[in-house]
Amino acid sequence: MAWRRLAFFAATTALLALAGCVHAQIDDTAPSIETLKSLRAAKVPPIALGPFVDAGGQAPIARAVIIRGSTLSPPKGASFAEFLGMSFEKELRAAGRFDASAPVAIAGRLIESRAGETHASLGVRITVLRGEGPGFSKDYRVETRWKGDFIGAIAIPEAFRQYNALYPLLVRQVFADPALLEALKSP
Amino acid sequence: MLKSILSARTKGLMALAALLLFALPTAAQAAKWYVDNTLGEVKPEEKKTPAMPRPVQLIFEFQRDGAPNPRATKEVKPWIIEALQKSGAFSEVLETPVAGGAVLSVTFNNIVKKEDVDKAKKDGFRAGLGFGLFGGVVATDRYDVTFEYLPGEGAASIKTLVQHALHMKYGKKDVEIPGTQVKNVTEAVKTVVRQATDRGVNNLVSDPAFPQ
Repeated sequence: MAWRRLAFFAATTALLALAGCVHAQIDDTAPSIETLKSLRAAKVPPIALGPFVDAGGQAPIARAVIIRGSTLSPPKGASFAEFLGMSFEKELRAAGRFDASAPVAIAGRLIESRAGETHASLGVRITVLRGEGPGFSKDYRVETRWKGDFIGAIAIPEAFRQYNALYPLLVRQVFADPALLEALKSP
Repeated sequence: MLKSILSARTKGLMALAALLLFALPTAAQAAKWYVDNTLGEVKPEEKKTPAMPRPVQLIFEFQRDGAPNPRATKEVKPWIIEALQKSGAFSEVLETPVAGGAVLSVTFNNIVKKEDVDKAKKDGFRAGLGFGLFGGVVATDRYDVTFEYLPGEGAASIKTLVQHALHMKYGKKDVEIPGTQVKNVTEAVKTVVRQATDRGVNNLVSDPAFPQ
């Protein structure tokens, strides 16, 4: 049947084309009302942002995310660790709790960054900095699993979206921790 | 870019349909888009606006099954801001803290049911192989839109939930779609966003606790 052969050819072409390479940049994350309410309720004073670095140093643990030859990169001129810091700053600014000259700051070391076709995870060590040096320090981690897809046009953006979404989730987990909020308040 | 707003199921069907259309344009039928009729527009007699609108800080997030979708958030936010500015409920809509500390959080959650995905994929592949002539598929994207308004620091919040849906039909499928057909996917998503925002804001303003 001619139409069947044509249909098979078209479907095969479609599936190959659907798996084409994509080069994307990670998207900014949105602040959350939950964090805003937590910071307001705990009466956390405005704080500054310390350095956010990759724990791997010269051999960063968070390189570009590569799925089937398609890549997701951090924003131009920044690393994924710095992008995480920007996400924290955005959340603090939205809550009216950011002051670059405040005596208290939070800093972060990106200690985990994994992304695959069905699983992604992100981890950070947060440290509260005061005039006399580092104080409170704690590790936070988020992960996600999803069902992969054989169609590249679905699988690739879905993997990127799942990894991207870990950044706001990690920021929210940190600011939902009563121990951290207390550490930010303590003189 | 707009595709990030739709569920993976709908995007997959769109991609398959588009490529098959390219392969045999005269035989295939284009996807049709429908905005669900259940919610509809806010009627003039229902419309509420405060006597003295105040500024508000917007916090907006688009989600898929409760998880953040940063790309879709970026794409939809300007439409939300436009709808809020036109609502007459607020004197100003900003993304930074405002005088008085009022905050409006809008969360668009795209709900995806696994059984819907499996069925749509099966029907979609069959419809695709027949170029839309020997079958079809209907995919529905459902949205739970949560509005939470904080009148100021320390004040209790006002919440409302609005539900909306978007339907896509591809190929020959003799089913009645409970929606109004619009010309393309951009128009469809924009209409869903505007109608949901108008309804959500009107619900908030109608609440006796909303500052009048």
